[in-house]
Amino acid sequence: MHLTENANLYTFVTGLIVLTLLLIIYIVSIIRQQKSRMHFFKLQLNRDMELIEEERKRIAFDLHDDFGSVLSIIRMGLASIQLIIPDESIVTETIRNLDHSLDRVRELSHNLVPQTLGEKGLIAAIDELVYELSSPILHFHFTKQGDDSDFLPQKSLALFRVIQEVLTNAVKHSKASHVQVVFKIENKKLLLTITDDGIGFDVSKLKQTRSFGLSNIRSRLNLLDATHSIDSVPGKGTIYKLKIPLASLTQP
Amino acid sequence: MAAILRVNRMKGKYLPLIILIALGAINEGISFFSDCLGHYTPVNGNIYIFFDFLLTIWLFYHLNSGLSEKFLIALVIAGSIIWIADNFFLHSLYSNNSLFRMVASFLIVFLSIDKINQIIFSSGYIETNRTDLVLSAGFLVYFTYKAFVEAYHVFPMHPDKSFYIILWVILGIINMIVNLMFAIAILCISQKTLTSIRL
Repeated sequence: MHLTENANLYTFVTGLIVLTLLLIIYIVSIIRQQKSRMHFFKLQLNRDMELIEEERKRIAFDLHDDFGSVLSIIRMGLASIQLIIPDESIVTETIRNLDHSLDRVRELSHNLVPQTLGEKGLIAAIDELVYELSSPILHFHFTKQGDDSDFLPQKSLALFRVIQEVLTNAVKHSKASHVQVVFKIENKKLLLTITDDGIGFDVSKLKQTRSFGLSNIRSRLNLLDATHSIDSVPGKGTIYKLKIPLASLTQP
Repeated sequence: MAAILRVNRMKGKYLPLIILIALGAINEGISFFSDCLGHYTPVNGNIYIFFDFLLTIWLFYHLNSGLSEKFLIALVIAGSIIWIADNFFLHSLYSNNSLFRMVASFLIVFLSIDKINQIIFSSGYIETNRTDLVLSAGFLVYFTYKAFVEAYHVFPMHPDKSFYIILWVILGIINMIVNLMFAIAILCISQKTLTSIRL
């Protein structure tokens, strides 16, 4: 009787061990497939982002070379007319409007393809962006600590687009007078903090809105394996924090 | 029979399955006749199970299961080492050995679960077909149960012989169901793409 009980126990334990091993196999496979699915989606996202950047480049060149040239030719024509009829105020006004349009076209094509990023790197591009966004009523302070020479151009571009989106949002909506950008590399991580002293907003409402800019930021941060947080209180400004492992910026 | 009827129409990736089925039939034939003649020997079974393992890995390689070539080669090497140890060092080739059968069952369960998960997870972005799903499900059902049976033979602690008889009877039933599944899978295999060249 005792022998049979022991045998039953051993049989049960053997069965349980086999079952456990099968369960482990199942879990390992699920994790493996989940990882491979994530990898696939990341590749797809990367491809989409590359396509967007290619399209931006094309639009920028079209704007600058085609549209910009046409505007310049029209301006030259108007300048010739102005020489014949110097007192015609409508011509002077049109030339002024055209000059404004030409500046705007140059600005747009420059924003679409940040040339400094490709030539001098991320820190220089942020420096330039901050300079361009500064105005007499909105002061930017950029503090940098660390080296960006190892960053891959594609990853730098993704991060630059995020910073560009956040800073543009600050300019458009925050009504701040000071914006501080801190770029710091610490413990193999890039820590980026953007703080403004603007009107702030209710962060809980952010989840309800379907902002294109925000979803763009999320997609790009997903590519960079980044974590981000937004702290804001109405009337007390906003703090945007970004943490990216350096390996994500330096390895493909 | 289904495999023989459709062998010319089947895509090359299922070749290991056809060889596997053919080898299985030959092995069963040898066992049956040697038993009838009173000279039953487990040698052919021990050799067959090794080729069964290799062919299954080859099949899953062709099914594009997403496992790297290196991993599959490592499985083959590990399996070969265990088979040699089981049949030449730990036991004799002339006895029914279960250690390799148990390990091979676990490895094939992993391959089939992984393939099924791949089909489920990747629906929409990787081309999969019903044949792969039915085949993997068949392998999963059979080798999951076989892992239990072989584990009870590796650690034979139950004194009652009827316990083992019941295990083998259930395995026989599962084997029959899985063979039906394989037949369905083979009938589901789409025929080779016909191409013509206009001169």
